[in-house]
Amino acid sequence: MSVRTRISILILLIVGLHALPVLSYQGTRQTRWPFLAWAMYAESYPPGPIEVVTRQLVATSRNGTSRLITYRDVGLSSPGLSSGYLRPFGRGDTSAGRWLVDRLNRVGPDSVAELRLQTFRYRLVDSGVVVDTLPVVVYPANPQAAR
Amino acid sequence: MRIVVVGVEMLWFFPSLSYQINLAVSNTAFQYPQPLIRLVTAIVPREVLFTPAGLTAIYWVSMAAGLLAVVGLFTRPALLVYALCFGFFVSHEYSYADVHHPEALYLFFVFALALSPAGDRLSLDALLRQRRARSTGRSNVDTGLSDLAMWPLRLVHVLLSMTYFSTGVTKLLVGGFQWMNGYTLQYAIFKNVITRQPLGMWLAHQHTLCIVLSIGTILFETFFFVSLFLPRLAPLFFAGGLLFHLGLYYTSGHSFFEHMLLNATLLIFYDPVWFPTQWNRLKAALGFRSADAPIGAAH
Repeated sequence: MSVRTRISILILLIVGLHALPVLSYQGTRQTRWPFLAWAMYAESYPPGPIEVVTRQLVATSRNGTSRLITYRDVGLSSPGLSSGYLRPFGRGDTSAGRWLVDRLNRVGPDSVAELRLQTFRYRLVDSGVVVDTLPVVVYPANPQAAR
Repeated sequence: MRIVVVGVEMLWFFPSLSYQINLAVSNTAFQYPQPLIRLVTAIVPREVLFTPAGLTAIYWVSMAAGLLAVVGLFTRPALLVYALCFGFFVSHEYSYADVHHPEALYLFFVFALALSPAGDRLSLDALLRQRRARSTGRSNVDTGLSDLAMWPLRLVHVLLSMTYFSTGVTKLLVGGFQWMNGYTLQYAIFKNVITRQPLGMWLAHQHTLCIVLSIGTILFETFFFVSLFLPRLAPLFFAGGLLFHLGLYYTSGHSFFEHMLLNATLLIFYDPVWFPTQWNRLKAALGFRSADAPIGAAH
């Protein structure tokens, strides 16, 4: 088989394999890198106020010190932490809170007694940006009961 | 070509070793293992390879391979090892619940370079070949030219066209024409630039400009493939691609550095005549202006 033929087959293979993630769509949890579906930012946003929500996770250790937790502290990517744990935690999913405490106690520098999820809503207005602070979610909700 | 794509990636965009180690030591298992990681762990257990020492060793192997590829010593094997290591690190990062697109086409391109006549010119391999030919008294008939040298560029051009088309068409299928209502782009930018990127924050407030840029985005992504059939105009599409990704980066923080690198590589090397001609024109124009500029103009 000539070099030219082998290269042609390889090109067809690479191009053809790109059909796989389209025909067998996995959503955001793709497991065929580097053959990916390329649907990015496909959703449209309706006319009206433009609002975005951000979340901050604060851990309080048993000696009372608080620190901001980033994705690096728990060993995940930023979107992975947000979609897998912060959003469910914000909706009141206590298993997400428990997972985060367990993970921080395993890999972090100190023992975590409490987690606080602070949520902020940013609204785009003509004069700039308006920030609303939403209710804080705490884990464990009742520290005495958790002990 | 190989000097640019490997050198730039190694210097600025190669996966961070500290981040890789952080992921490996913080997690006890992969959440969504990618194919290359599944293959590697089938041979070597996770506890052996995915340790600080194991990852550091692979990192330095990839740096050594990259350096050899840049100077052109054992060029093709070095490119192959570099591509495998690069793919390994990116696959490792994406095996923990989050997958992104920027590095995929770059990997295909480096693999393709490893299977092309890369290193036949501007390399230590070429110098050594010439020296060997001289010492044996043979005249070196190898011109360093090959009609197979361009296929990695053609391949990446096709892949860029496919992926841009897929992205553009998906926006139209999922979001509909409403995707171009301006609010969608304002939201997408605003979401990414809170407390960052003042240029993005300014742009998020410009509704009419966002409508124009949304239409431009859909047109660029959906019709980039036209450049495959208009090779004379293709460099303009690549320049557009480079500006598109620079714009995304400076307004929304989307770090498609590898796409910038690929578009820039296509712009420079795809047409051997176009870029040098434009470059010389630019130099001449600048020289002409500076020669004609009044002496006091600098003040």
